[in-house]
Amino acid sequence: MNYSTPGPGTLPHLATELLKLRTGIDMVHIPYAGAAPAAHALVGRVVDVGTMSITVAMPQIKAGTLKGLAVTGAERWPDLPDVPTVEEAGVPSSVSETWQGVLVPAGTPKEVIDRLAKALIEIAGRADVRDRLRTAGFAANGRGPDAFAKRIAEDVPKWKEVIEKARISVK
Amino acid sequence: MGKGAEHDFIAYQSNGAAPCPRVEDRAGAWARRPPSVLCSTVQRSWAPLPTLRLLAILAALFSSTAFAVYPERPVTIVVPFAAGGANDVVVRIIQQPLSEALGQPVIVENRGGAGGNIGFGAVARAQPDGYTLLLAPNSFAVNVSLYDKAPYDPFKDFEPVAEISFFPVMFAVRPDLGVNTLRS
Repeated sequence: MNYSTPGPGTLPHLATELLKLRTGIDMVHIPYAGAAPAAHALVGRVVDVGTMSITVAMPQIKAGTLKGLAVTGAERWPDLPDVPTVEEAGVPSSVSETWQGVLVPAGTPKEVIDRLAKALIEIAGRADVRDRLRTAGFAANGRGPDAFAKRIAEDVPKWKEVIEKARISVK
Repeated sequence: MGKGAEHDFIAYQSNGAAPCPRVEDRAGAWARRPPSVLCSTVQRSWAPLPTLRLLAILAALFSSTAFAVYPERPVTIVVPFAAGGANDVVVRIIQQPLSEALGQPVIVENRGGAGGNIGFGAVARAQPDGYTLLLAPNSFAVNVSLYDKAPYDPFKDFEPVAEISFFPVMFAVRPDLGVNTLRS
């Protein structure tokens, strides 16, 4: 079996290698230069499995040319209520999510961080902002310094393990 | 004078001139070296204390009002990728609301290169004054392991402010593959 991704070191690549680590299944990575050619390789029968963002897969799923086996989020994706999460599908400790967040240089005064965090959390919670993010393929998730720090503290060692064990290199 | 006097004394010491050794210390030190001519004995006098106390109060007021009025000028958000990517989409959605919330323009600066490392490194070395922000994706947590020499430490060089959004990916197959579950 082989699988396509938009490129080495991308979340689809890392997520699939994490799945391989947790399950022991073997699949050969076929990297493409971007999301569109990676999806085309799957539709065009060049590869067996494609790991891709939901935004990229959605038109193909609606057209019936692709089928989602699992999403890598901690929870099901709202637009794909019938597709289980990886953990629901029986693979523990295999959540892979990319996030977008704001950081500042170390040493920035706490008053400034609190001011920015308060503003950003409020903005991420607005209905119009959530809608715009959702349309673009993102789930709004306004969370402050502590929750964001926890996310980073979990992700750094997780991806270190995957990158080392799968010998992932961008060179 | 209690606590106030202590503060004045510290304020004075930090003013530059080293305090002179106390007389009893000098006696022992004398044989080794003469007392420095740059030392000051003024801290023994109460004369400058009202001025120093005023300065200390002004300094405290200034530092708290400096943050109370933040931001006083435009704030820059660095996106560590070329314009048009996923992070750009997010930053363009929050740019205007953040500008309104802060009462200052929010400038988006695309600094792509080396898988985000150029932008990560630039913000790691920026002034920690709240005027340079980083919009980071999870490659911020990945690159330190993916690249031999990432120009930043995700823990030592940064303070997280807020997560804005996230998304997962999916494993997909062709329907005719006959596979319906991840397990199979």
